[in-house]
Amino acid sequence: MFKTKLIYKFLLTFLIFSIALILPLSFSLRKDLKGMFTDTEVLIEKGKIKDARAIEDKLFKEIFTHLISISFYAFFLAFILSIFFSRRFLNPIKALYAGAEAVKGGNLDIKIPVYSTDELGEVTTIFNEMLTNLRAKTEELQNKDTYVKTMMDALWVVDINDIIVDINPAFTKMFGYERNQVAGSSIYDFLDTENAMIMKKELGLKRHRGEHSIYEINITAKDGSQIPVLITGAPIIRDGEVVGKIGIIKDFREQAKLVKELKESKAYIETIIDSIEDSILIINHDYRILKANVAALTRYGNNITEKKCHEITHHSSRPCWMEGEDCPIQGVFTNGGTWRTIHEHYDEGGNKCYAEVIASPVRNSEGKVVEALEIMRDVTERVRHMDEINRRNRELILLNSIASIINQSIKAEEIFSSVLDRLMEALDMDGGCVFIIDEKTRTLICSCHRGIAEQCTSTAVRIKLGSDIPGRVAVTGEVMTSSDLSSDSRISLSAFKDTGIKGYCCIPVKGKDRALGVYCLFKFKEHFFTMEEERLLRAVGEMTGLALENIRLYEEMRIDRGLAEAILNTMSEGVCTVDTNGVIVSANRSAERILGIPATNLVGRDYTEIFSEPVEGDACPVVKSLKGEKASAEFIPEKGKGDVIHVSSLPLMDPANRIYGAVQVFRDVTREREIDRMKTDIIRSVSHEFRAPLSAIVGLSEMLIDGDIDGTRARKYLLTIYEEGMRLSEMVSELLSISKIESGKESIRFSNIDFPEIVESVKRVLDVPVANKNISLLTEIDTDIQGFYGDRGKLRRLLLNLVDNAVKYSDPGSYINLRVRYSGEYVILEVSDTGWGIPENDMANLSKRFYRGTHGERTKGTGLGLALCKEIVRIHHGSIDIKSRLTKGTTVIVTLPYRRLDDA
Amino acid sequence: MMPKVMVIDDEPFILMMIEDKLRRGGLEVFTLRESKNAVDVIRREMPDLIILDWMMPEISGISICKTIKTDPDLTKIPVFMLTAKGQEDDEKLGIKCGVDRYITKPFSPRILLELVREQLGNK
Repeated sequence: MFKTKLIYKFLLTFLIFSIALILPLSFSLRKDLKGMFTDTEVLIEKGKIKDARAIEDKLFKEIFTHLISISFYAFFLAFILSIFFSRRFLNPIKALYAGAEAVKGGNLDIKIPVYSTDELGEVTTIFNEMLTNLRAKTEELQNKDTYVKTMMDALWVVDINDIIVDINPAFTKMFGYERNQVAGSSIYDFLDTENAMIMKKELGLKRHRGEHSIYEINITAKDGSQIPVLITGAPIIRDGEVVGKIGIIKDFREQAKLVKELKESKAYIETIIDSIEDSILIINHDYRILKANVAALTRYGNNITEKKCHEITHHSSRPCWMEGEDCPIQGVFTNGGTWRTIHEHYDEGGNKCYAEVIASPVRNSEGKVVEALEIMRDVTERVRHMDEINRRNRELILLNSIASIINQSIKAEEIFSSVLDRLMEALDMDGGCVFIIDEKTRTLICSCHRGIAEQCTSTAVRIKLGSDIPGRVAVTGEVMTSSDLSSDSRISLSAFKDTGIKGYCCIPVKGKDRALGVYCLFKFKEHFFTMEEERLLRAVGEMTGLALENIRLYEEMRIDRGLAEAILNTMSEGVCTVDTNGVIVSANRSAERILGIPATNLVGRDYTEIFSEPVEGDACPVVKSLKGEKASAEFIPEKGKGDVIHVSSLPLMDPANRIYGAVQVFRDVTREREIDRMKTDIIRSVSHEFRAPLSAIVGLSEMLIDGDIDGTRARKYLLTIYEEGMRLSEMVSELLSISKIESGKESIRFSNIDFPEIVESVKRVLDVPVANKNISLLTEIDTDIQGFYGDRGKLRRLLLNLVDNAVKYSDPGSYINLRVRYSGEYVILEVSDTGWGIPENDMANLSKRFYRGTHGERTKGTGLGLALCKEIVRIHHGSIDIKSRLTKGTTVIVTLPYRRLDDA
Repeated sequence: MMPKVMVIDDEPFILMMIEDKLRRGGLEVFTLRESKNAVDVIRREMPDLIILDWMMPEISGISICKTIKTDPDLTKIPVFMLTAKGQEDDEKLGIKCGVDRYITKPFSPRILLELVREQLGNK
């Protein structure tokens, strides 16, 4: 409804002004009229106006003239005033106008003030709302435009005639065309012939139906290159009519590349799969073969796809379900994981074969198992080999266990019965027995039996060589088997025939050149002995025979060894053997004795521990002989009595000339070395001691010959020559007597000894030197020594030597005391002096021949005296004891056991 | 003046033999049977040559030789060692101790005289 508030306002203003103007005017008019009426009345009264009518006219005229002018004037004034005062009512209109102008100019961001609540106010409000809406719309449009512009994918808009209407910046970016270059062109301008055809087909098919379309196409870019794209087309529908189409163009270069690669890799994988020799099948839930590689097609036939896998591989109408033959495909579909198994299969020709099957799940993107991949490898050969190996293995285990039985025992019966048990177990036999050949009676004697009643074997307990089956086998040395003894036509009469035995086998136990026994094995059921079993049994027979042969050899060897040991242990030389590492392996009794170490302590020790530093000879004879040489050396062993041991070492070689050790033969050569040393000493001493008298003889006689000497002096010379010659002769005889006594060649003449007489004789001999040195020689003899038997000459020599030594090794004026005492079972001879005494380091060597000691240089002597004394005491079974203190003197005590003639 | 030779030996017959031989050879001989005071006697007598036995009681010839050879007054006196010790080692030891001539027993008095003369002639 049109509102008229503005008009009312104007009218009201006009009315107010009109009234405001008309009211004073009407008052002045009334006053004028009153004046006029008064005037008129005056006139009438005065009679000037004679005619009323005329008066009325005149009055009317007057009123009318006044009224018109005043009204006009009033109205005019009111109008002016009302216009003036209504001027502000135009402000909203002005504002509206200005707003409209601004909008026209494109500025939507304005707000028109609302001055009133009248129509204009409302119009302004509506205008403002309109502006707000317009702004929102524009913003939305701008946003949409921005989206379109910022779209990554290119976009084109075409009209119904396939003329491009618009594109987005992405299009420009992708193809290089600017908007103005493209707008108005046909889309076919950007496609080559082939792609144009595709496009036409796509558009022709779908456009008119108003359908969406997605298609791949190549668009020619500005630079001429063909860019693969995916176009998603949607019709633009206006008023229910297709007016154009919008196409979103996706860059498909990457995808195209990927697709290409995918194709290539697919081809590659297929090539690989086809070139794999194992059969590969892809199988679905229904066990249907979806795909098979070339190998599978070759193996199972060309037409296997779409068939069920078990039909192909097992020739069975259902998947395998047997124990140990679980279907791997089923496993894959029920449990997921990879399954590996070996199955019995059939090839295209229906031959049985073995396949190793590996089934793995093929999962979709959700992880669900959709298909199963089955790889099948032909392992027929392998399985056969495995079977063969297993069988061989079982045989070997059996042979090995038998070998260990043989090795563990050296009793023939024990070996036979254990081997029998093992054979029965291995071949699953019900019984068996062993016959041992008795060479003397030429019969087979049953030594043990299993699984057969006593009475059965009792008949067969002794079988003559050559009769019955065992007898014949023993003679021929061939294995004899029978799958059913009871119906075997070859055997007419046998102790085993009516015992219910069916499967029967008889094996000879062959020694080196003759049969030693027979094994019999049997079963109460029929049993066919295979070639392998026969071969195995023959081997066992040979093995046992060999073992028995070895036992016999061992027995012989044991006897031989005992003999060798006896020889070794009775020989005087020490013998020990060392291995290649120089460790002592064995030692005989003499070795123990010579080395002073028990054999148990010797064995296992390093040879060099016992013989470290050689005194003489090869540094280590063992090392040399382990290299194959013969070597010898002398040692002073670690333990023992400081003895010298001569070791000769020889390599030990096996028949192949390989060294497996060395044998050491050693001898205690202490005595020999002592003798050698003594010999040297004697030669040395003889040459030395003999020189002094020889000097006299040679020198003096030379002078005599030269005629240097004459008269009485010559006589003195000759005397000296004679005396020195005598001394020489004495030395020779002393030496000889020691040697004689030592070698036991000199006979001992026993007689009743008269000690006083011997002492007197000694005193007489030493009279001159004693007197020369002014020595006091005191003698003290028990007179009741009776019946002592000994060699007079030697005992005299003993005393003479002892007293002579005392004289020689004493200063002039010394005392010497000689005592002969009787003490129970013994006669004690004691010579003591107050002489020089013997230095401690000489004590040990005193009685060695020619040993002269520290004081030796001060006196003349043979160095044989004490040595001779020692020998004399020895042959009288006595002992000699020397006590001495340097500068104080020496005491020699000889203890001789009391002997009677009958003892001597 | 006749050259004086001193002979020290405990064997009387050796002394007798050498004394007789050297005297006949025109040399003055002085003999000594005991080695105990030998060095003192040598100092007193100052011989032109000394003939020593090695093995003697009391003091051995080799120690007398050592004393002579280490004494500046006596060192130039030639020393003959007359000994039964015939081993090579003994001779070496003797030479080491300053022995001028090593003569082993038994010896020829004639050759000894020649050697003594030779030694004295060299002087």
